[in-house]
Amino acid sequence: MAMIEVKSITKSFPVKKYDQAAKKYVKDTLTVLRDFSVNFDQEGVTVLLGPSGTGKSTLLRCINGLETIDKGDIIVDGMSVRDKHQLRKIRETCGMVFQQTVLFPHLDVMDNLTLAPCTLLGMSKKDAVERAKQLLDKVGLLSKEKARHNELSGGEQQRIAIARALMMNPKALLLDEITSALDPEMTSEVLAILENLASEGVCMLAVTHEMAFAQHVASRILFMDKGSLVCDASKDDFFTIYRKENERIASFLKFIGE
Amino acid sequence: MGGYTLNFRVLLQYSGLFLQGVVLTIKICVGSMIISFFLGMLLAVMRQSKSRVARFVSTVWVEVLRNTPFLIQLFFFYYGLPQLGIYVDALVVAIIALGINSSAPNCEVIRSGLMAVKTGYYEASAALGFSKFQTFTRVVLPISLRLAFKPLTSNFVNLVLTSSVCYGITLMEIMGVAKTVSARSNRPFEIYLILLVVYCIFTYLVSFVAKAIDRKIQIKL
Ligand SMILES: Nc1ncnc2c1ncn2[C@@H]1O[C@H](COP(=O)(O)OP(=O)(O)OP(=O)(O)O)[C@@H](O)[C@H]1O
Ligand SMILES: [Mg+2]
Repeated sequence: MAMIEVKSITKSFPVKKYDQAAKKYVKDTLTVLRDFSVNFDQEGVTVLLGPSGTGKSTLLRCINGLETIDKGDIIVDGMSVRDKHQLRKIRETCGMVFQQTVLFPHLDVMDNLTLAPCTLLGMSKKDAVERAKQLLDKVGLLSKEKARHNELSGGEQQRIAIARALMMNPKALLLDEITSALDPEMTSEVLAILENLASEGVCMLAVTHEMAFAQHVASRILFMDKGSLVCDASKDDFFTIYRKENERIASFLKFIGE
Repeated sequence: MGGYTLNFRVLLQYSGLFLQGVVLTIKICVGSMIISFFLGMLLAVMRQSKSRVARFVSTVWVEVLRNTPFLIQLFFFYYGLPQLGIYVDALVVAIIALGINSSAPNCEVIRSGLMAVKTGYYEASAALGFSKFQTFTRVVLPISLRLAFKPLTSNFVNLVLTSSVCYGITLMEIMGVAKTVSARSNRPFEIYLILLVVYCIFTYLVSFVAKAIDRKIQIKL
């Protein structure tokens, strides 16, 4: 059984649409994911590619229970995202990092890391601090223990956010374009951390436009377009066979300069 | 100046009375600050809640308080409650009335604090596994209270100044003492001069403490 099973889910958002005839905005629904299925095992790095607006973030948010799904089901480690009581456990299983990270502004780095494990896992403060130190060391920011979010660069904030997610000891990390808001130098700092984690066997599901990352670190590549899965392949197949044979993929890769 | 000579010495005999007044004023202020803070917080949360009833109650509460004079609110409780068979001490009435009165501006500033907490904070906490309630108590409230702290303290300064109205219900707080002493000693000029200074000191102390706390807790979003 796969660790994350996305079983033919449908997800739509209520939106307002301009009705030409009636000359006013009317309620409408935008279906982002339609009958979408995919499985993830707890292994390696899966990179999720696709043009903007195809529902990559929506998929990750559905897995983490941040969005409710209309149809179908997602089973994370045996738990359904439809079950409100399991939501906490699911989020513990799948840590998530966003493009725009928000560190809690009223807490320093150390407290940002220890807050969740202390309140949710009942970890003792001492153990939490110890674990936090290990993780801060791993992301190369042990010296920033006492810093506040406004004293950190964007790249440092993302590295802290990764450490904060890892504090919960998740089985997988969901990463949503976590380097998109960073300049190239900070991007490579963050990617280096991810590469390191991957080599230690941390399982990741990452949306990214960093092709170098996809080529070096990913084991599996998913390509989405307009809410459906176009391709699910090993990295090698993706960058050889699929890029030649699938027009959508070829033009996408060309477009982002690969 | 008509050759008026200031004479504070004649007031010395009333210094004990003044001191009692000061103590009573402090009691009124501290008591009502506590009430107005928690009530303001509750009202702000109600105002931001999904429940229409809660939002309605909070809105009406705040509007009524903001658009009526405090003296009338005070009389309403002091003379109104006994008619309903509820007898409470003038001090208790003053603390409650002033607390309720300042809950309105406190609600407003705490509410702006709550509104400044963007969805990103809610999602970051949710993604870590915090329940809605934990997100609120551990993240949203601590952030918004810190953001609201400065305007809250200026509300508290206003509260201190407004507390002088409480002499209207026979309370011998410092303004009440001043009225009495001025009738007895016939030295209103000196007495009210002292009072102006005392209120300045009160509000200065509030701001001083507030600034010290603010330095500790201030955050940037
Ligand atoms: N809360 C929402 N309400 C309405 N529409 C939404 C909402 N969230 C997303 N959408 C729409 O759903 C579609 C998919 O969005 P999503 O963020 O999943 O795309 P994406 O693949 O992550 O794109 P990008 O690469 O730009 O991040 C978009 O058309 C977006 O406008
Ligand atoms: Mg996205």
